[in-house]
Amino acid sequence: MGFLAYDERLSDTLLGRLEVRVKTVSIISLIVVFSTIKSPAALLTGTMVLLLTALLSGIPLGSLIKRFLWLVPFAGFMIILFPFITPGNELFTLATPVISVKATEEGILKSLFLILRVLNAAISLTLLVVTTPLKELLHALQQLKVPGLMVSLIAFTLRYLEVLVAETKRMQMAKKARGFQQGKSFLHRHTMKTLGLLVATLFLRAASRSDRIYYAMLSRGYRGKEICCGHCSPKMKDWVAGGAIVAFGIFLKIAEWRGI
Amino acid sequence: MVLIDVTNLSYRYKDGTQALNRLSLTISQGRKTAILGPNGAGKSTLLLHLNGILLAQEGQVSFAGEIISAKNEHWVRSKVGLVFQDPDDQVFSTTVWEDVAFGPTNMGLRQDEINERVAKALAAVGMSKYEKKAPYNLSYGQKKRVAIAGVLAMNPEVIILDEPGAFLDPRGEDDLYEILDELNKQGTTIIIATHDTDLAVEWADDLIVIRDGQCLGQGGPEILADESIIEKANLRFPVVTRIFNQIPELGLEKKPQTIGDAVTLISDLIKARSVKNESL
Repeated sequence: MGFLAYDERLSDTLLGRLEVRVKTVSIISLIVVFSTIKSPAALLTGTMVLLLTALLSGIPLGSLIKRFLWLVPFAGFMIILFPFITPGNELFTLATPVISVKATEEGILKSLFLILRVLNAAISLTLLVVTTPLKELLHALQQLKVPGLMVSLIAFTLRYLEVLVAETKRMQMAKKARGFQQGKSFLHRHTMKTLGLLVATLFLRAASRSDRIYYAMLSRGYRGKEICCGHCSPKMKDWVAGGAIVAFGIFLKIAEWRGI
Repeated sequence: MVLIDVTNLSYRYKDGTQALNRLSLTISQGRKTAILGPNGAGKSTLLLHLNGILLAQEGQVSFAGEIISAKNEHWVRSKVGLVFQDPDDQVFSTTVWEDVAFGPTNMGLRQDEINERVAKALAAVGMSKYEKKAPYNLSYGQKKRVAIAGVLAMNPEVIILDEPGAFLDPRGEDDLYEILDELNKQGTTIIIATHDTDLAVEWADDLIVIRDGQCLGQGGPEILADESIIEKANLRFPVVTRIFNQIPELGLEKKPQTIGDAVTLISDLIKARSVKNESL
């Protein structure tokens, strides 16, 4: 889970020193603003400023790109698909022996919006997680009255993702050891059936593990509520820095309204 | 002195599995006790009762004279620590320090006391330098140590370990038992659940053999010399006993069980042979 890892070297940067709750609220507000902006120029300005902030914070561009790779399966599919499924003025046709599809201007613009929005959200989120220890981030969410169940879900997802990935790898290896060969198409029945069973088994194992984890928590005094240590109160400089982040988002929104 | 008293304990899971069936046993304070039984004997279900996670459906479990019930289950959990078989089930926090602090935090202790307990517990299992690490970056042996530290930080009177050797290499297992012995010397009662008869005779002071949720026998390591118990429990004699079972010519009435017993016996046999040779 390298993409979510805290980088201790960044603890002394401006963002690293910012009070966690102020930082969380201001960055999440910025992401919300990005998701409402419809002007490519405003979004692009946002991307540039965020990239500059990342570079000034000491996050190398290569490491930043590596942290985005996890987004490819989520957004990549839609980004590729939009030009071909959005109605509008035809730009070019992609012809294959089986099927030919038309890409539209509106579709490409839609993809561009999605790329910029996802990129802005991802850079913002990366700036938050690389400069904040996960423990402090979760405690901040709790103090910001995010439901405890949701905070626990985030914590457990992060903690057990590795375990589930390792379990999946072991199961895949066991399948291979018994001669399983993956079919070359999604229509290969045996492959689909085997993958379906693998996912189902993984769910069942995860459910049974969650029971054991719950017992383990109970055995150490858990009573259904996470108890966490306190945070320092934000200082004036934190409010100023947080306010500046939110102001940047508002500035982009105003620029969009004014048609800049 | 009896610390834990289990009387006619029965427990049936929702799927109808009768895990415990009128089970009775006692565990003494300050001792090292091994609960032996094959897979599915009811060991893990019993351990969950000793920690107050499961409550008796029939019969009762007492800790220090108090019957464990919904009223005092949290108190029992602060006195009886439970280390689960798979450390990934137990070590769930994002950092080692945070995980070890989980129990003391739930006990409502002050932050300075939590810090002190966490530091002490991590030092006791040799994991101090890993306090900032994420648990998924640790080996199974290290995770097991963290799991023990998480229990130690609650200052329990009893530590229970379910299949402590699972997932550990031989060296990791030796290190673990060294830690347990040290804790026992300091007065902590240690209970382990295992199906390893070699480990049980070498390590434990008291043995309890269970199968199908019933107690087949309780006593010192000598109960594992009883063939009927071994047969009924679907276990096997310790390897040392099995070796001497292969040599009936020795005419031993009581077969050795531990490596120490075997060494003593073999030395005695060598000495006796030397004396015999000299007298000839």
